Amino acid sequence: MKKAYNEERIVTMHQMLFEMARGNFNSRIPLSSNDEELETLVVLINMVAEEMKESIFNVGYVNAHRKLQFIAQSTLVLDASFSIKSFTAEIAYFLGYSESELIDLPLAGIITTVSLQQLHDVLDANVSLPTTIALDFTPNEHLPVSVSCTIGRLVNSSEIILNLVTPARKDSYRPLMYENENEKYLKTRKADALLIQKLYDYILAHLEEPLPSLKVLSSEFGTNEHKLKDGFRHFFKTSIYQFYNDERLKRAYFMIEHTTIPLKNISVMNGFNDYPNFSKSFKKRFGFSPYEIKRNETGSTSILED
Amino acid sequence: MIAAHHFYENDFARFWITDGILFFEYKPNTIIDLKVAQCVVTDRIHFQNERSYPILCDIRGIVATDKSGRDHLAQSGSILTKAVALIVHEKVSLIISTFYVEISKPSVPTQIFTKEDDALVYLKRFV
Repeated sequence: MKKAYNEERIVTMHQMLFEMARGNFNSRIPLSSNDEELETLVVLINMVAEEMKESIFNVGYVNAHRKLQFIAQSTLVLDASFSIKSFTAEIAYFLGYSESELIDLPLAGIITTVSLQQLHDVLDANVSLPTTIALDFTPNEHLPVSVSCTIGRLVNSSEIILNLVTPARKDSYRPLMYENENEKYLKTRKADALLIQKLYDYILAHLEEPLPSLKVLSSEFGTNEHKLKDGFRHFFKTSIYQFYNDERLKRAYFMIEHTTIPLKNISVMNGFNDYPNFSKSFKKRFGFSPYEIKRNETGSTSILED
Repeated sequence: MIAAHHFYENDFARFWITDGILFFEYKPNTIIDLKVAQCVVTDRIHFQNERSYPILCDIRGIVATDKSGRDHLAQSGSILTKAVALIVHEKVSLIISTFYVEISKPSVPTQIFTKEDDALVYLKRFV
């Protein structure tokens, strides 16, 4: 009798923990009047969920289901006086500046003084390049981020190359100085987070179909177009369509690399109506055509004939 | 003997002062939410008449707490308090009070006891 009751209790605890893993901190396990070890766990889990709801999710974190949202190999090219000459486009997004703002900007403008000094020290010490150093970048209006960078020099050039992997920012923390101004804004964002999370999940689950119009989506999610568009951009720093497009291209890339499915089929499977359209989008995003990717010839996936 | 003018009671707790220690006892079946926390803290502070005391807090009557209540007690509940000794006797109240000490981080020294005698020994240091 008691064993069955305990088993039921454990099941509700599992459910609660799964909800928390999904990013839902609103559920609570009903309390009972027993004072047993199991009950202490129930009480503890509820309290932890309360804490996490307020602390971690206060600014509307959404669960992207992955630890690293994307990894981009990025490059900064500096001249001999450490001014930014060029860079790969995603660095601008990572740093929160426009491309034009970054050109000719001294490196000191995007990394901390300490990091700049460390960089100088490494280069002055004539250490054999390439070498790796952790630099603290100072993105515009965000907390400093420590990123491991590889410094190198190009042959027959006085330019310095910084290679880094730009981390995806989740914006799960805002500096205290913003708190008062944006409090009202933040409170609305918290309510939106669940909705945007649903939209995000929906898009990922329907990459093989064309994306419904903003009008249809807002109707589906019971809100207005502005809220949906604005909310998505707030959490994910990109437009709904761009995210959708990007995700399906990434999925297509994966399929091309790891299967021997004909390219035409892969494009259809990822929601592209015609192949030329797919190829063009692909090349724009990755810089090379789909057919240029080395495919996994020994892959175990079956070939789908058209 | 408890002097009548050193005794106070509200909907949620009773408290009195003896030998330089404030004795605080929650009533049975108390749920600590923000409203309750505010009420007990406000009344206690008024009762203390601007003097600071170590507090022996019997929390055995508490059946549940929520975060806003815990946070309020941890912060405002430490006003005019030199130290706090919490008395528990059940596993559940032990976990709640441990959580309170570890996570809500009260601003004054706080320890958990199962026996009042041990708690008084601890508090006497702060008188």
